Amino acid sequence: MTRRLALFLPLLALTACPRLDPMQRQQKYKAYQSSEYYANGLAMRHPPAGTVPYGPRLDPAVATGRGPDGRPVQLLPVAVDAKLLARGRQRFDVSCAVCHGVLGDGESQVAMNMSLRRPPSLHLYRDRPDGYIYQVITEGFGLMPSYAAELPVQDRWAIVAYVRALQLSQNASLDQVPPDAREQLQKEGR
Amino acid sequence: MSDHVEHAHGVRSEEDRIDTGKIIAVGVAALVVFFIGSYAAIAYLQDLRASREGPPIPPEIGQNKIGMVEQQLFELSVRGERDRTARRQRLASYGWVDRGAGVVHLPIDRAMDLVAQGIRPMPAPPVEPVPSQAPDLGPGPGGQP
Repeated sequence: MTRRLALFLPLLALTACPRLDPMQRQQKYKAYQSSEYYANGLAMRHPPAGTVPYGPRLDPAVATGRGPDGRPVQLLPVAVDAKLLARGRQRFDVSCAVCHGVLGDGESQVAMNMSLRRPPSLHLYRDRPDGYIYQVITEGFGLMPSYAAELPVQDRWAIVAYVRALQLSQNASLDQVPPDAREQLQKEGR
Repeated sequence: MSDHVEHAHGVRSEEDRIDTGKIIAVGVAALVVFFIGSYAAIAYLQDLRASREGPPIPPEIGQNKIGMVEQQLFELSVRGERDRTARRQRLASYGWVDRGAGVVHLPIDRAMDLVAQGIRPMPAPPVEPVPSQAPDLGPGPGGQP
């Protein structure tokens, strides 16, 4: 009995040990902590002189959607082509159409159930600069959260370009219709 | 055999005799009264129901949605899919938006081609400004503004 108790008690004492893994708690500095080893008292260090970014540096207008004067840029600062628009269409249908509708007119199942403040029709913002739409995607607006984490910069501009295509598709003039379709439209009723 | 039992303490008492037939007769009579009463109550309530008109059927019955609550099984609810299909069709076709103003809708592929060529959408119609201040209702009582 005494022998069993002598074996049991050390095992019981082991359960009182807080940490058996010596790697669980390590000495390290976290961001903004002070350090006595440097003259400025901070543990955070500046990059060495001559350090260059690993990836290409983004133009501030592309990254923020704002021009040098701080106002939203009027036109997209990236080249608009079919590839960018196709990417914008794909990303819009995934991230935006759920609330704003596939037509961008604010009519969707989610919008129907948002009784207090519905997502607006994007066709009301045809006058706004391209940078304004980019900023709304990046920073959010009203009930809409920021989509910066879900959409990389290039995808956000692609969506802006596609929103312009959506606006044009639902508010076009007759001279933008090809002749054969124009004849068909002229024959149709209202 | 005597009707009285001699107890040890000497007191004589009448022997307990229960007439089983009478008890059964009382039970049967109670059941008969119960069934007759139940039948009479059922007949009375049926006559009463037949003489009265039923409650009106609410107009919401049969609708897909009552208030915020969907009344159909999710598997059978195809309204969202139907609306989405209709909007996809509009997004792929030509049509009039406002014939008097000459405004049409284009297939999205055509619109994407035009945007890729640098064409911008037409400006939005002017929106009436929202008054940022309360309307001037004139001076208040006692000449106070």
